Amino acid sequence: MSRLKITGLTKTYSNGLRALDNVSLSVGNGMFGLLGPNGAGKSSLMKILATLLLADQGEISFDGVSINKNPDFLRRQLGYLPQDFGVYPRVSAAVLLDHLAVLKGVSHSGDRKQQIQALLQQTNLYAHRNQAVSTFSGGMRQRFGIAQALLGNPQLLIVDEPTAGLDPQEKNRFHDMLSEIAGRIVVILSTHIIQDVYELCGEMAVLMGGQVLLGGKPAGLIQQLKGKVWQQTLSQEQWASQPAQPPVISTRLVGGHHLIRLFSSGPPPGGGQGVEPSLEDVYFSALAGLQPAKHQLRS
Amino acid sequence: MMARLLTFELNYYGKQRIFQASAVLFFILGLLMTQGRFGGPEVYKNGPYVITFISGLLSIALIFVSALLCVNAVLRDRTHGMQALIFTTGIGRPLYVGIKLLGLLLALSLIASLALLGSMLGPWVLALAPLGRFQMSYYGQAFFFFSLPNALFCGCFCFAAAMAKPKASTVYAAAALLFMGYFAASIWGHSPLMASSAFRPQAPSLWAQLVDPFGLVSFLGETKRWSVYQRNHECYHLTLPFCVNRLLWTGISALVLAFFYARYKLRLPSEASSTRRLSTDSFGPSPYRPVTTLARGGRYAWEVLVSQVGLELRLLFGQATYLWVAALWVFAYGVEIKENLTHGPYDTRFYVTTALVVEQLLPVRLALLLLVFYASELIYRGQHTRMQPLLLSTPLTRPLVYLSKMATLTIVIFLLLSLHLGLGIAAQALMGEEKIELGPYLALYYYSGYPLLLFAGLIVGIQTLISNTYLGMLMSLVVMASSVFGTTLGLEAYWLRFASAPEVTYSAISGFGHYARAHQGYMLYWTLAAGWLAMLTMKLWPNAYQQTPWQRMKAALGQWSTRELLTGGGILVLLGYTGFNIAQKSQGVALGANRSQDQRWQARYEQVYQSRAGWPQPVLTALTLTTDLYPAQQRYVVSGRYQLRNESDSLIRVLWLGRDPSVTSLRLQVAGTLDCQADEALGQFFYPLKQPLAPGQVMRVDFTMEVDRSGDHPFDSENAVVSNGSYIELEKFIPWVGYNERMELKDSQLRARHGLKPRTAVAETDGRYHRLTYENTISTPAGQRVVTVGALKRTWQNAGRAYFQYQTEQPIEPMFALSSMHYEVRTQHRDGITFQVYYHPGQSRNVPAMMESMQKTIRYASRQWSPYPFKHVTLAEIPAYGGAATAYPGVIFSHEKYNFLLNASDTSRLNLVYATTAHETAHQWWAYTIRPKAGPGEAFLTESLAKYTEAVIVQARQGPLKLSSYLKADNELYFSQRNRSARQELPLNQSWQQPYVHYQKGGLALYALGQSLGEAWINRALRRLIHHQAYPKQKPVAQNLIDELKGQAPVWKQKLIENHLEKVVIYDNRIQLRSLKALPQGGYQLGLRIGVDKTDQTALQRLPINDAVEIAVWGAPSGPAKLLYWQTHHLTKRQTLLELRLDQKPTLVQVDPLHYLLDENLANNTVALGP
Ligand SMILES: Nc1ncnc2c1ncn2[C@@H]1O[C@H](COP(=O)(O)OP(=O)(O)OP(=O)(O)O)[C@@H](O)[C@H]1O
Ligand SMILES: [Mg+2]
Repeated sequence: MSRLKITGLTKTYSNGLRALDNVSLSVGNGMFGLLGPNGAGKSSLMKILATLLLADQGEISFDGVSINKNPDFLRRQLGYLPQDFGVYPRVSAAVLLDHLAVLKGVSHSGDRKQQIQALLQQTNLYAHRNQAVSTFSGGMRQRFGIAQALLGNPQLLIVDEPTAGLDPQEKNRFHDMLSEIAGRIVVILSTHIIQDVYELCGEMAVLMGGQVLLGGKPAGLIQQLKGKVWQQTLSQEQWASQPAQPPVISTRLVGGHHLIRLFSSGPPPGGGQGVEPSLEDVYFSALAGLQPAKHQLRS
Repeated sequence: MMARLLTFELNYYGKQRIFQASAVLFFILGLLMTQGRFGGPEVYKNGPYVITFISGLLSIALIFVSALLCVNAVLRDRTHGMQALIFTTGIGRPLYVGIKLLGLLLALSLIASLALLGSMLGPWVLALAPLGRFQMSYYGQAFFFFSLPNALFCGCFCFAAAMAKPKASTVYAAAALLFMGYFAASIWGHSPLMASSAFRPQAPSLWAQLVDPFGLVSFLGETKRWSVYQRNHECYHLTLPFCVNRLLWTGISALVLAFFYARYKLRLPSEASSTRRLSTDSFGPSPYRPVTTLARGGRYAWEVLVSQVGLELRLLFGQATYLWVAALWVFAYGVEIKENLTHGPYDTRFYVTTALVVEQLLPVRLALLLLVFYASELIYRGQHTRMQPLLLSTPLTRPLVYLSKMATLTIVIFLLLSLHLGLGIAAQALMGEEKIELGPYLALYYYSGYPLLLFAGLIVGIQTLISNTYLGMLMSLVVMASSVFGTTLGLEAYWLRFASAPEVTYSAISGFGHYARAHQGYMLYWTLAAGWLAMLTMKLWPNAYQQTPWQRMKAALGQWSTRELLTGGGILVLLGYTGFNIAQKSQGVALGANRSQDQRWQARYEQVYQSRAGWPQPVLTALTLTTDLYPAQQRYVVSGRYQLRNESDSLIRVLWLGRDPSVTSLRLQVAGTLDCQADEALGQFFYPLKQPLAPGQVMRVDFTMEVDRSGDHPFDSENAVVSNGSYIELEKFIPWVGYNERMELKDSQLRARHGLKPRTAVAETDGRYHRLTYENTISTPAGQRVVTVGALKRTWQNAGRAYFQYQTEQPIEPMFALSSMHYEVRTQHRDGITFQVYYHPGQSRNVPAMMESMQKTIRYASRQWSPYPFKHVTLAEIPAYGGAATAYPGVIFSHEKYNFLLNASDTSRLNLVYATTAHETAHQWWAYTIRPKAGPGEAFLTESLAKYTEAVIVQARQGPLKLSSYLKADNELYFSQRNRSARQELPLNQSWQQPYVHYQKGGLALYALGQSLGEAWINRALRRLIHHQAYPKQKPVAQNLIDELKGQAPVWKQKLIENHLEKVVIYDNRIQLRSLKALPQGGYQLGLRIGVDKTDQTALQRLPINDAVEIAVWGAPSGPAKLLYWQTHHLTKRQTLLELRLDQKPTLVQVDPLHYLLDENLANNTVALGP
């Protein structure tokens, strides 16, 4: 069942840059991954969803309520971790979390205390709870950001590159936590790590130049590429003299040899080996324009 | 590379709004300030004094620009998180710091030069007068001595603060520190910019000159005594203290800079102080669970407020800056309280009563600066710390954010005021005052604190609208300054100046006085305005969607719910209603309030009626009044009957009566007249008489008038009706006959602006005494007592009111003021006269001195001149209404502060209370026994003689040596006021509108004559004057007394009298040591050179010396100085050598030891010889 509906969202910044161009998505409970190169418009989309930015056109509704008209409806059930944020100087994590919890309407002080304790533990910040957040390390600060996003009772959780800067251990811990709560709420996550999307997200979309290139379930998207991905291994000289003919999904230099993945419905003329497609192939082929444009998501 | 970096830096400044705005602002300020009246109306607008003054004042304002620029430009790498990138570029510390400092200093110097350019163009653009010849060097001097060093100094200081701790709040605190330092030094140095500095002609102390970082205390202190000519033609000479000051502060800023530079590193700041240790305790795993939220309703709002305010206060008190500011506050106001209460005029001190301290504490303008700085930190905090996305995505609403910021400001204001009051209470306790009343202190939360709160609303509004932090702050400062200093900028109306209201005062007698109630009306008005502003601010508060001011304004104008529209509209209607109400109530003309409407009225009166001043009119010979005072409503009603008599030689066909503009309603009834021709606007009434009034005939006039003296009208200290301590100089406000000069505009510039000719002294032609009998039955609320002229015949009570019937026992001069308040009375009978002092309960400490002074003066005068005419003399206290005391026939009204609160307990000093009372008592002779003809020289026969009497009486009690400090103060006051006046000084016998002549010089000259001719000689002349010219004979003029004085005196004494009283003569006396030898047979041989120079200031020529001059020698082998020699020498040469044989070793020699000869330089009249 879709809870968050985005239709025809367009945003042009005052400098004339079109960050979002007629974006439509429909998202239900569970984790939704946003992929896209730098500058694709992911953060812009998330800011609009987090009611921090007004779209020029388009409609967003959450649980059937229009967000443009009633942003407070969403704010009361929103958790948001921005890509970039600061904090007041000289205020400890516990105090700042308490303050933000009050702002989010957690009025029962016992609840508040308990939840903050739990969050501090889950983000492994409990030992640092009395330390000023402004003196945290990058990763610690990011974890603080995660903790504050989960305060209260968020129904829509928007996390913009949440694991950037986290060490592997902390990253796993966070992913576990997300998976645990994602069944009941809508989580929108942007990331540059395709593997994470593959592992975590039930749905995903690829954004580029402000447009949705592709959307759907990761497994389904991979399935669609079955039998269409071929790999060639060329030496340096071959690479220079004979460029591949069919559309290239991606190239990589591995041990002095070029590993080239090609998109082709039949065996490519230059030879090659059929391979199992991965989500990475889905992503790169979408960026390269090799996929049928704009799959409308169903859920 | 240097050049490139510097160009980048300067380009950066050029692009900053704050720099552009300040440059324009300072140029305009420089331009507009030439309109100010610096140094008096005759001082050239392009003369050296005005230029220096303006550049000095503007360089103080430069502190704030310096702080704003410093935070904007110098701290920009930190603000924008660029430090890591810049510091790792390999730019060296010297270059990095050097370029930034250079950039800042250049920017500030540019702004300072623009200000000076503005002041250069001002007189020309605004077509001002008077102007002198344009001299570039004047501007050069002002620039290089004031503008530039101060700009550099402000820049360096703020820069050093920024290096010490690269944070905005540190820099702002540094700016506040500089300003408060200046503020304290100004009070300390009695800067003429401070209200309390009048009557302190002394140059500021060396310390005060050194402490002032801007060098203004030196400049103003030094030039305080400058003549107009000097102000127009001379550049400020570099005095030693000034040079030391400039060096000192340049040195300090260089040192501070060097100190912080040495510790400065191109490193990211570490924030260690407040972080706490790792918390090691732990407990069982607790799983994360969502919890229910309710982000709506009252409880949510309350919790958000508490949390938000708590966090803000934690942030405020988490930094040491606030401690600094609090300490500075205590210092600045501590200095103010101490200076103003322990260094009054004539070196007096006051009892540190609650009322006097509260009076000092009432204005808290310094707080406005702090508010601007703090509010900006508060408002832009989310933006600066980049926490905005976290906050804006919560359900927090704009009104809640706004309210929490305002609540924080309210608490901060409350805390600041608590500190302020605490300081006052501590000052009282420390200075040994036992009676500390809390009530008046608590009232300051309202009178001083509430306007601050309103201002906070305005500042938040401005800074919300303007999203550029620095521009927002600058604008707030500008708006505040225009509100506080509005009147000087031509914004007279209170409703145009935010949070302004007529300034309340505080007195133990009348509390917050005249304006106490009206103040509430204004505050209501401003509260409504602030409420409306608050609504608007909430609408304009930046939220996620509308970021630019333009977007926000559009949005704010667009979306109004019906409820908001109704509230907003309702507030506007109420605001309009209150404003209209205030305007309605305060309508009318008030003499001396000097609003343009009052000036126009006065000018018109003179233009229309002055030509008829010569009309023959009858004079008042008998007056019967009933007066009802209603202090609770601040109004009074007078009804009464005049008996008028034609004392001229011609028939009177028309009776001409006038009404004072302060009278609310007047009903006149004149028997035997035709229809009255009335000029309602100017309050003039002409009654054609059916039967012309022949010489010697009398007629009757009945009248009833009502006067509303509520705080809606400007305060008039001569017409004050307040809850306790009413005082009305009634003779001025009841209907008058004929033309009334009192209505004329006095100020020569105002007269010129309204096309009136300069006023000249016109000698009275009549010369007869016109006395009258006066009877007044006055009622007032029970509990209060009334004092007025005449004998108290009867008192009774009726229906909660007390009645007092006063009646004169013989005809008096037409002068009858009255007072009403809760009085305690002390009565004594001496020499058949009843002496009474009416005083405010509790303020009795000086009553014995007043009693004694009245008795001694009356005894002396009755013996020496003529018997005291009445059977009683009453001294009645009235609140501190400016001035010291006023004498009426048989009554003295004595002002609270300078008489009852003066601390005269130190018997080693002159008792000023005793002196003032003697002065006022003397007026019973020199104003009411002898009344001079109106015209030039009249004040010589009143004020000069009262001053003289004062000296004689004080000397009899405390001896000539204690008197000498008083004479010295008068000597200095004479020169300082004389120099400030541009008008040609008139000799005493023609003195007119030059108080320093008939007060200071008059007293000194008569005292000097007393020393040369002998007290008996003077008394004989005074006796003869009374004998020949007291009532009912002809009134005298000054020359009559001079003739009596000259009498049979030897020629050289006659010449002396002429020099003192008929010429403008000043002395230049010196004394020098020639030799000092110990004699073999014991004793000492002292050789002295005495120099006496005398110039006639009118003819500008030296006069031959023929003077009695006193010489004193002191010796003090140990312990207090002992008089070894005191002799009057008749000197006839400019230089006199003197050989003295002394028994003991001399330590100090003096010429004119009592300082009664007018001598601008008294320092060289004394030479210390060392031990
Ligand atoms: N405030 C702004 N004003 C103008 N343009 C902006 C603004 N914010 C973002 N942009 C532009 O909008 C486009 C989308 O930016 P956005 O931050 O949404 O990208 P993103 O997908 O989040 O990229 P990244 O992966 O780097 O975080 C970019 O080209 C960016 O330059
Ligand atoms: Mg992004």
